[in-house]
Amino acid sequence: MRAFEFEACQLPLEAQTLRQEVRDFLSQSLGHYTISEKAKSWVGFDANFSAELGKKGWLGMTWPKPFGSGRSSLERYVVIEELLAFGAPVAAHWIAERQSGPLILRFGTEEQKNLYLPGISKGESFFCIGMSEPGSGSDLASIITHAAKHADGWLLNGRKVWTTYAHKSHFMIALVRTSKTTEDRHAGLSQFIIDLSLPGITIRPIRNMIGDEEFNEVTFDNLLVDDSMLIGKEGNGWQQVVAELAFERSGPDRFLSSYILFREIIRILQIDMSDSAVKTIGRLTAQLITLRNMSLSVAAKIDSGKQPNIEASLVKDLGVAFEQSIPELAHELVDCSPRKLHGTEYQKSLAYVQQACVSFSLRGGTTEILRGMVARGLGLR
Amino acid sequence: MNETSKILSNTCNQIFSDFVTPAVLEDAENGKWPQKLWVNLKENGLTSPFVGEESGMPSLTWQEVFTIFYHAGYYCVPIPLVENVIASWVLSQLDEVLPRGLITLPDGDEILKIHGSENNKKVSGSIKSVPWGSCATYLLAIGEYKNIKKFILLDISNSLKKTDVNIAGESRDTIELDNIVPESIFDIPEDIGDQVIKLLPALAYSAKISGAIFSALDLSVDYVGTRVQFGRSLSKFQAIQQQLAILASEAAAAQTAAVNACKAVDNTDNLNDIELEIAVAKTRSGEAAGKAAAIAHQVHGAIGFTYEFKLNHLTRRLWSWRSEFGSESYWSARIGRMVMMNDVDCLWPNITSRI
Repeated sequence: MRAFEFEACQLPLEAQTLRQEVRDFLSQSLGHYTISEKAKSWVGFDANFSAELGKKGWLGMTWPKPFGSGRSSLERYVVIEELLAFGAPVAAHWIAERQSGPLILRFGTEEQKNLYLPGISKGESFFCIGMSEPGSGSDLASIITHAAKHADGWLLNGRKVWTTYAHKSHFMIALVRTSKTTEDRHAGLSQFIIDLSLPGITIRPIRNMIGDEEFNEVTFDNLLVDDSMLIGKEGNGWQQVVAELAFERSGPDRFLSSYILFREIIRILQIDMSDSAVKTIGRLTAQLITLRNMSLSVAAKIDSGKQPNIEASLVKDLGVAFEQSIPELAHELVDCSPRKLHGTEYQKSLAYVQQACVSFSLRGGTTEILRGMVARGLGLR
Repeated sequence: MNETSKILSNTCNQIFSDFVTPAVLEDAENGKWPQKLWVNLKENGLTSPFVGEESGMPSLTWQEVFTIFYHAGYYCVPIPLVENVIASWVLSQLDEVLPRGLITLPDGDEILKIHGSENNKKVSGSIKSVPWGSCATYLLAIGEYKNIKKFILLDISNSLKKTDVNIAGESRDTIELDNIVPESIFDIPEDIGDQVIKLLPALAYSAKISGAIFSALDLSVDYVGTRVQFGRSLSKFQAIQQQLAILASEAAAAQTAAVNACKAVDNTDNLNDIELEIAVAKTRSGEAAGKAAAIAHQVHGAIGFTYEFKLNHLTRRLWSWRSEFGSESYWSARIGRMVMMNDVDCLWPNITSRI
């Protein structure tokens, strides 16, 4: 039995109608959007736009009724790849819709589902991820933020970092230690839904190298969390996180982050087509089309109830390598310096992607961690 | 994988592991035709899997035939299986009865001149890079008569041949055609096109490449699991693990590209419409071939550089196949032109509208 398998995926016919609806909607509602805004890809935050998508029924669409519209993962795939290829500002709802919602749906109580899922599918309730800590990055099991049993629930203390858009989110799903470290490092971890408006939480922005303030440091100081906020089983946090990450690693967000820049590079090269440029664009297009087919194959597997973790890791590894090669391509083929303030839309897009792309192979699991998972799948460790 | 593909996979594994031994591979490199292997494949219907009735098997889809090509690559099968399968497919599309002997195809864009009168057409010229041209009875090629391209089927058994080999030692011969009367001349149907004997072999070679990469991956995983250095097996070193994960991702990409192009052939009514899918398959698998071969050799160390150890049979084929029936340079230029001659705002709609 091979460790991984990528079969050809056939998109259902109705997906094409849906695709056209999404395109029409995007050109109407975001017609004014500039190229350099689009180049921010899924980091662009626009709460109104997310609410619009919610009204369209395009958030949480795979969830069963009444939470979603019970459509297939492949239909959802079509919607999100159209959003990303357009460069729509999807960050507000992105985490909530991609992973917090599915996590709640899978492990949450009925009460939690009723409380949180409708807000997510309306595009009104935003979530962030509380995993990394100052001392725990790739080695996630080493986290020390802990929740201690208390008469009125749990008392949380500790600090989370790199929590994207925590300052604009309503909730965080935090992975914390609920019992002391034992031999099994993965035991004793639990997940809580945290209402970020509660006292005892300090959110401090961390300015990134681009100069933007998107991610944060979130500190819990004797934060009292109700029992009802525990998600899934106490002590089962690691298994839940692993399941959650499969949603996070194989989607079109793992190879389309630089698509807008790729398209604009081609637009410039069309003016004076050189043989080497034609070949390079051909090679990159072959990579892009293949990545999409790999990613679709994983979506089809998830749709049929499987958990293709190795396949998802392979897609992310190759996908971010493709995304990161695009600014390199720009420098190889186009003689043009990036500009942050007053340049052309191309110059501004390049300025952004050139800097942002270093994070692509870090967010959602570093390339080294992913390759370690693949190696385990191959039986090497 | 559907049931048919699973059965095909089992059959291929059985036949190839029995009949493609190291000795057979070495003999083939010295010019010896592996007759037992050929007879077995023929008896099992694998040499013309699209032609159902003869073998009593239902006609297969391209996604199913992918399995045969994949295994031909995995086991380094030293015969022109792909060429014979594709030539048979073309002839079956023309409703022709298949000739009994081995049919091959040229790797190249040469067009043979057909001369002579309407009732006495003849072909002369030299045609290069014919896989197993020296063993084949027939050659299916493109000819031109009065400026119109035709398929021509030639009996080359008595033609003069100049033997050459690719770096894997696979026969790539030159055939001298001296006033040969073609067995048949066919009009080229529009939905098949004169590109077919470039497109389909390119697709099949990308399938073979994906099989050979998986084979190199399996061999590498086995090897690093048994080889001990510094007191532990190589598989325990992170540097090795990371390299093999990259090799796995290239294997996955090559396979995905080839399988999706097969799907496109299954879904289309006109082969000219799926040039993009095939170009993507050959370009991406060719890229993967180079990366995979390099990693497989690096983790094998010196043993991989010996003739005796079987890795070289795979890697020499990877380097050969990536350049045959159009290299990455050739196919990436075709993709690049398709993209750049078009409005760039149509790129995404084009990618997503493919069936």
